[in-house]
Amino acid sequence: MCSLSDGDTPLQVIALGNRYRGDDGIAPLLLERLMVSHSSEVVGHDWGDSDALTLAHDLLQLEGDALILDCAELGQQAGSWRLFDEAALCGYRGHSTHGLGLADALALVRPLGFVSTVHCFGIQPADLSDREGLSEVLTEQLPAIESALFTTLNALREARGT
Amino acid sequence: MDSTRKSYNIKIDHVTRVEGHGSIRINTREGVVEEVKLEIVEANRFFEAFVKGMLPHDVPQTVSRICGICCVGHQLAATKAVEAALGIEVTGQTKLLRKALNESQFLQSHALHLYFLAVPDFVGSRSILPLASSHPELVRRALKLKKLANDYTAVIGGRTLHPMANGLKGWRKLPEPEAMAGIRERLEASIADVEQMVELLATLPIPDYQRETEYVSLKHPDEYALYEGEVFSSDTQSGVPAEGYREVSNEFTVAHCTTKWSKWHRESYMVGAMARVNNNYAQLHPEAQRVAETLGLKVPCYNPYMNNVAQMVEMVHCTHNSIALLDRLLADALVDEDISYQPRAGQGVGAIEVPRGILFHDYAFGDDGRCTEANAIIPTSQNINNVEQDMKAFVPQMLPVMEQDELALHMEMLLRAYDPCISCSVHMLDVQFV
Repeated sequence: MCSLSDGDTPLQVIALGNRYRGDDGIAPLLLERLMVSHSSEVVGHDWGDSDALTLAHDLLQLEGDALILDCAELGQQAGSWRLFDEAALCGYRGHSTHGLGLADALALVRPLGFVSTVHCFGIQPADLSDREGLSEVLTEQLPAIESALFTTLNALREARGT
Repeated sequence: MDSTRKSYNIKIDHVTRVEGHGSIRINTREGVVEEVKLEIVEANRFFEAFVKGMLPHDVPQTVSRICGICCVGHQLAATKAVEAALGIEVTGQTKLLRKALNESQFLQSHALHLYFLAVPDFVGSRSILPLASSHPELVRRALKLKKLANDYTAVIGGRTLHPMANGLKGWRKLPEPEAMAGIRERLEASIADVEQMVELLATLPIPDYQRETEYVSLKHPDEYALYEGEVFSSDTQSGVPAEGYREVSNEFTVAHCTTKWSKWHRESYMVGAMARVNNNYAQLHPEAQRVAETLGLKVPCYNPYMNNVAQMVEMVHCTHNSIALLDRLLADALVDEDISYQPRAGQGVGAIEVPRGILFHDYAFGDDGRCTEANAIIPTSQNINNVEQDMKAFVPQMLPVMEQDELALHMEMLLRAYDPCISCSVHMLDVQFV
């Protein structure tokens, strides 16, 4: 079993998503499974579908580097995934308080002393309609997505030098 | 520039840092004001049409979706109206829970508006984002207060957005005493943070423009009225029952607004924090009165820009009053109540104060128990007329002393001071589905 912490501060894994909006529930589900297999090595946070201001507040309470899990419009096939660093996450547009999102929450907390390194593991959804449970596509892809997540976590640990 | 030469063409599409879409048009020619308009361009909503046919318990949960910021207010006003229609009385426990739920929304909404939407103007910023660098402690406290208020709503109501615990006749799932005690403790701790915010607000230059208008709010003999009371007018110094709301609002349409306008004893009236403080100052918590004094808010106040200050005063009031409400809720064990009811024909009105002002909901049900008629009169729609009258009064005063950009900013600040919820305010009663 891999060790995902840096020895001092475990990696904070944050799930964003609404379980009642189809594939938006992928992140909470992944976190649940991660906490079964790696509960001694990461600290998990299910932040549901928090608004950006709540997100900003909660980020300020975090200790340690963070990996955010979320579904994301990647423009790719459903079930695809991508790891974003903060520059990639925030660099695509200017910041605005009209429709505050994750990038804006990060822009808000950086000047407030939030120093943690943040990455985002984004998963392309197929269906975000009001329903419980993942789409067929994402259900089929779940083992592969989970495996990719574990690989990502290992890579992040190596990058942290542990 | 000599004001007789000022020809301004101000077109703000759309005003930022308000909920919803509104535009400001100001035209002056050689110092003469030719046009002042507040255009509301938000698309009409159809809630009053599609709740027809619904069963009574579905109506409050549906109409709470009129707005994500004002969801508690719509739910509570609709709940009261439906209960009135069905002749349902509620217990003291339910009333206390609803008062706490309502005040949680006041804290959340006033914190959001004051610190994330309004204050940036007063410190020379166009949004909260630069304030994180220039005023980090302000932003930290604001985030903390908003989070506390969100959690307060979640503990009492079941969740932050569109809470589910409140139902007809009582609570579906009672809040946990430990959770309420935790909120109470955090509210107590927040008093120091709120005090720091008051100190900051005291340093901010509030524009000084006065226009006396009629101030309309709920009034109650025993408390600062937020949950119940008569509909009170500052002009007549008397109240009318909520059932008389149509004779209060006298809604009418104007060509440049998708929201209806209102008037009562004058050409327009104001609702919201300023109206409540003007009408009910004596019933504010003593600490709130002290803060009003510190911030220079003396009643009656006719400066609409001071609505921001009135919101701060209400935040202090609601913090202390919420502590008292939670003490009462914690004093005795909450009891699960029978919330079964029998649908029947009837018609009823619910009036409640929400952060932006007095809100009316009105529903009728037929013999089959289903909704046949619905009407919602929103605080922002009651205010929009008054905002435009303020603009018409202030532009001629500002024109001699302000350049175009400064005047435009002051008009935006005026609209923001009312804390409008424009999406809430656009409604349509009679819909023909084709």
